[in-house]
Amino acid sequence: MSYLSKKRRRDMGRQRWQFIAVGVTVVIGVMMYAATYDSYLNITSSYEQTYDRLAFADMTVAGGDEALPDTIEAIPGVQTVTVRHTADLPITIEDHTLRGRMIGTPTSGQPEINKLDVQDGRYLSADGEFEAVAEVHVARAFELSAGDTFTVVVGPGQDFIVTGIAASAEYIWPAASTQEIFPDPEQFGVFFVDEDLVAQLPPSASVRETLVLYDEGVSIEDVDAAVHDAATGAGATSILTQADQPSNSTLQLDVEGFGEMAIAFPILFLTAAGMAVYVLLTRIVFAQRSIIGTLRASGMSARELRRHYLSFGLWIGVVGAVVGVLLGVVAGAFMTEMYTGFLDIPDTVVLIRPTTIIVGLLFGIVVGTLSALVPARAAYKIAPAEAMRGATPATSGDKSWLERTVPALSKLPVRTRMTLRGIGRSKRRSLSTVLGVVLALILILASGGMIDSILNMINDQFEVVDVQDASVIASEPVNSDLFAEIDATRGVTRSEIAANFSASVTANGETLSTTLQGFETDTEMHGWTNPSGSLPASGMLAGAGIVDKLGVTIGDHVTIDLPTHDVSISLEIVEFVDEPLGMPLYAQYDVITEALSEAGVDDPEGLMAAPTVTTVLTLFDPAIDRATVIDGLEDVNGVLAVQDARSLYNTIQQFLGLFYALTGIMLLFGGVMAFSLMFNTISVNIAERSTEFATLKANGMSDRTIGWMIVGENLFLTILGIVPGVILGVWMASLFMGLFSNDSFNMSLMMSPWTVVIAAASMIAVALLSLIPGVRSVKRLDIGAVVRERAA
Amino acid sequence: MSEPAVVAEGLTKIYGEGDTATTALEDVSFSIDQGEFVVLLGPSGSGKTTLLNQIGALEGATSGSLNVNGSEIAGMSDKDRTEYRRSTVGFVFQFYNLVPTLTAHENVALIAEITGDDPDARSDVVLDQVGLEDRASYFPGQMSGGQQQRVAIARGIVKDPPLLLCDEPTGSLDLETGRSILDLLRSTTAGTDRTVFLVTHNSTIAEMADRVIRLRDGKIVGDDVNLNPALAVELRW
Repeated sequence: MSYLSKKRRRDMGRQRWQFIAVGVTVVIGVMMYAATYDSYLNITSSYEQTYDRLAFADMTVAGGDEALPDTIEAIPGVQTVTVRHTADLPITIEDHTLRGRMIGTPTSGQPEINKLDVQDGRYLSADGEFEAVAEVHVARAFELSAGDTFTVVVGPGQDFIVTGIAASAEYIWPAASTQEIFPDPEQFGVFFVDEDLVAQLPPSASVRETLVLYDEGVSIEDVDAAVHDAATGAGATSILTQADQPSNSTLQLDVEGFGEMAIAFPILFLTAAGMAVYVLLTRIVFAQRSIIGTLRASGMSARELRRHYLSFGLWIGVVGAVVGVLLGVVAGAFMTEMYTGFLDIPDTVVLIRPTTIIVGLLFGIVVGTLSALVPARAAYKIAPAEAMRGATPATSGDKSWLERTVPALSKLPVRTRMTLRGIGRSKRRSLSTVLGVVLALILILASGGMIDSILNMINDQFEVVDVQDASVIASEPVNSDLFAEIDATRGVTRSEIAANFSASVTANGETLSTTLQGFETDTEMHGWTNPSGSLPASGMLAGAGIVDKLGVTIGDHVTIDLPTHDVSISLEIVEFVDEPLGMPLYAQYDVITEALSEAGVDDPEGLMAAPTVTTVLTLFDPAIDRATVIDGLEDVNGVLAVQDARSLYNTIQQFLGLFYALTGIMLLFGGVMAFSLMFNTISVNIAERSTEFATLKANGMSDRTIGWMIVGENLFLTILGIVPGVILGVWMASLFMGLFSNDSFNMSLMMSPWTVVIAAASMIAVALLSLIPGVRSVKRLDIGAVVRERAA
Repeated sequence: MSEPAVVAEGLTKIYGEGDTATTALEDVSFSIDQGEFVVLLGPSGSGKTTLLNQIGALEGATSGSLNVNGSEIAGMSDKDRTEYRRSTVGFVFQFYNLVPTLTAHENVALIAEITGDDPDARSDVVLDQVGLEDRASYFPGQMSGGQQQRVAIARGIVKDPPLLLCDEPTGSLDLETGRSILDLLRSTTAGTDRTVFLVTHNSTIAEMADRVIRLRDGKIVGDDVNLNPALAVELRW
C-alpha cells in the first residue's frame, strides 16, 4: 500500500465518526433506492405473473347488444372473448346478511378469461348443484372452508355449498366498483357459481359482461380504442380496461407510489450525503494546507494530490454503495414478501436485478466522487508558497450580517457576538447545516402530510359526507309501515329513505361508471360540499372530478344510464361537490322519480321503492350501544341486512396499517439524515476551532459557556433551515398527493398545523442531539495536545 | 572549479498590482557555488523567505533570471517547476509540517515514494543519519519538537537533492535543540555537493555559514564569505 493510501486510511480513521455519519447517509440513500425500486419491480412482476397466469381480462364490457361479443372477436389483436353474467344479491352467512356478488363461472372447467387460483378445496364440478367457490377475502372474514354453506336471499332463498376458496385477479383488492373502493369483506363478498344459474336471473337482477383477452405483443392502446368504439356503438353501459378495473387501478396507484419513492427519496439522501462529503473534505484540505504545501514543495504533482483527496470521496461512495446495495436488495425482498402477503397477491416474484445493483453502486460512487471534486481541486490549487506561510491562515473577520443590520446587537456580550459571527465564518458549512434541516423536513413533511391528508380524507368521508350510522336494506319494497318500524327501533334517532342506482354517464366519447343517489329534500344523512351547501330542488350535483373526466360543466344536461333497470334519464348539472371518494351523482329522491317518469317508466314510485334501489338510512343515539341498535334493526320484520358505516371505517384503518409503517420508516430515516449531516458539520466546526476553544479554556472560560456558544450557533442555523424546509416540505407533500388522485380518490393536501410544529420541533431535537458528541469533545479537549499538534 | 550551483541576476518579485503592489525582491543578484552553506539573513519582511521560495521554484519571478545547476527556473511552467522540485530541492520548514497520521518512517518514505526508488530502504538510511532509527515507528504527536524537526530534515534529504532549503528551521526550538538541528544540517551535507540555503533572522546562526547574504527591504545589502564558519554547537543566542 502506498504511503498516501496509508495517510488516507489513517486520516479517515482519525475522524471515523464523521466518515461513518456521512457513510450512513450514503448507505441509506442507496438502500432506499435499491429497496424501493426492487420492490416496485418485484411487485409489478408479481402482479404481471398473477394476471398472466389467471388470464386477467384486458377489457370488461357490461351491457351492449347480443352481437357485441362477435363484433369484438373480429377486432385485430383480440385473442379470446367470453361472456358471463354477474349479479349482486343479498346473501346470509350464518346470521349475517351481506351483499354477495355472484359471478357466473363455467362448471366444465376453468374459464378462458379470469381464471381462479383455487387455494383450498376444489373448483366447481359439472355435476354439482348449487356449488360456489368463495373468494379468499369473504372466506377469511367468515372463516369459510369447503363444505360450509351460505344462502342467497332471493324468493324463498337458496342454499349454496362452498367447494373451495380461490383468489381472483379481479378481486385482489376486493372493491365492489370504482366508486366503492374501500371493501368491507363483512358487507360485500364475491362467490363464483354456475354461469347457467346467474344467466337465468332476470335482466334487472344481473349484468351481462363481455370479457376480452388480447393477443400478446399488441398495442394495448390501439386495441382498447377499437374495443371501446365497438362497445360504445353496441350500447354498453360500462367499459373498463384492465388499467381501470377497480382492483387493479387501486393497486397500481400504490405501486406507482413505490416507483416515485424509489427516485425522490434517495435523491434527498444522496444530496445530503454529497453535502456532508463536501464539508468534511473541505475541512480536511483546509487543515492540511501546510502538509499539502510541503508535498507540493517536495515535488508531488497536482494530479497525485487531486487523486489522493478524490479517493476519500470515492471510498465513502464505494463502501456506502456496497453496504447500501446489499441491505437494499435484502430489504427489497422483505418488503415485497410483506406487501404480497398483506394483500394476498397469489404470486410473489423476488428477483435480484443486476441493473438495480449497478445503478445503486453508481449512485453512491458518483455522489462520493463528485462531492470530493471541489475540495480535491482546492487541494491542488493551493499555491505551495502560500501554504508555506506558517500555520493555516485565519479566515477573514467581520461583524455578522445581523450586527451590521441591527447595530444595537453589537452591544451584546462578546461571546454572544462570537456566536453570531460564527455563523458567517464558514458559509458553506452553515449552508450544509441548513440544507440538512431542509432535506429532512421535506422527507418528514411529505410523509406526514400524506398521513394527515389520508386521515382527513377518511374523516371527511365518514363524518362530513356520509354521516349515517347504518343503511338498512329491506327484503321487500319499503312501505310506510316498514319505514315506521325501522324508525321506531330503540336507539334510532332519525330515519330517511335513500335511493342508490348503479349508473353510467357518457359524454364527449368518455364513459364514467358511477352511482346516482337520491336523498330526501332536507336530508341529514349527507354533508353537502357544493357552494350552496344543499341538495338542489331540481337537477343534480356531481363530483367535481367529472369535469376533467367527461368534459361537462354546470348547466349541461347529461344522460344517465341505469343499466340494471334498462332505462336512461336526463338531469341537469346544477353544482359540483368536492368529496374525497369517487365522483357520485346526487339528486332529490322526488327529482329522480320524476325523471324516471319522463323517461317512460310506468311505475317510477314502485321502481324507486324496490329493495334493490331504496335503503333506509339511520342515525343512532350515541348514548346507546351501537351493536344493540343494529341487532334491534336486524330483528325488524322485512329487514334483510344492516350495513354498519363504522365497520367500513374500521376496515379502512386496517388497510392503512401498511402505509403507516412505511411512512414511519421514512420519518425515522429523515431524522437519521438530519442528525448525520448536522453531526458532521458540527464536528468539523469544533475540530477546526479546537485551538481557539483551547485558548478560551486556558483563559478560564467554562466548558458550559463554550458549549452554549456552540449550541446557540447551531440552533440558529437549524431555525434558519426550518422556514424553507417547511415551505418545500408542504409543496412536496402536495405534489405527492396529486400523484395519487384518480377516478376513485380525490386527494388534496390537508396538513395539520401540528404536523408542521412537530416536524420543526423534531429538527430542533435532532440538532441538540447531534451537538452532544461535539460539546463533549470540547470538555475533553487536551489543551497541551492541541498546541503540540499544530498541523492537525 | 565547478560551475556555480545557483546564479541569480536582477531577480525581482512584485506581489499585487497598482497601488497595492509590494516589491518583495528587487534586483537581486548573486552566485553560489556547489556545496556552500548559505544563510539568508534579514529582519521580518526583508524578502528572505521570498528569495528562498524563488530558489525552490515555489512561485515564479516577476523579472530577472535564476539559474540552478544550469537550468533557468525563473520563467518555468508549473509542470516544470514540479519536476524541478522533485528532482532538485528538499525543504525543511519552521513548523515541521509532518503528516500527523504517518509515522516518522512513513513521513520520510512518502517523499521518497515520489521519486520512485525503494522508499523504505532509503528512509531507513536517512533516519539513521539524523539519529532517529529507534523512533521510526513513532507518530509526530509522540515526539518532541526537536525530534520532529529531525524527521523533517530526513524527509528533506531522502531524495538526495542538490539543494536543501531551510526556512527558519530552529524558529520553534530552544537553544540546545536548535543547535543540534543546525549541527545535523551541517553534518548531513558535509562531504556532499549539496548546497544549503538557510533563512533566519538570527544573526548568530549566520556565524556557521560559509556565505551570508543579508537582505533588507527586498534588496541585498551584504554578501559576505565566512572563511571560518563556527560550529553549530558553539553558537549562543
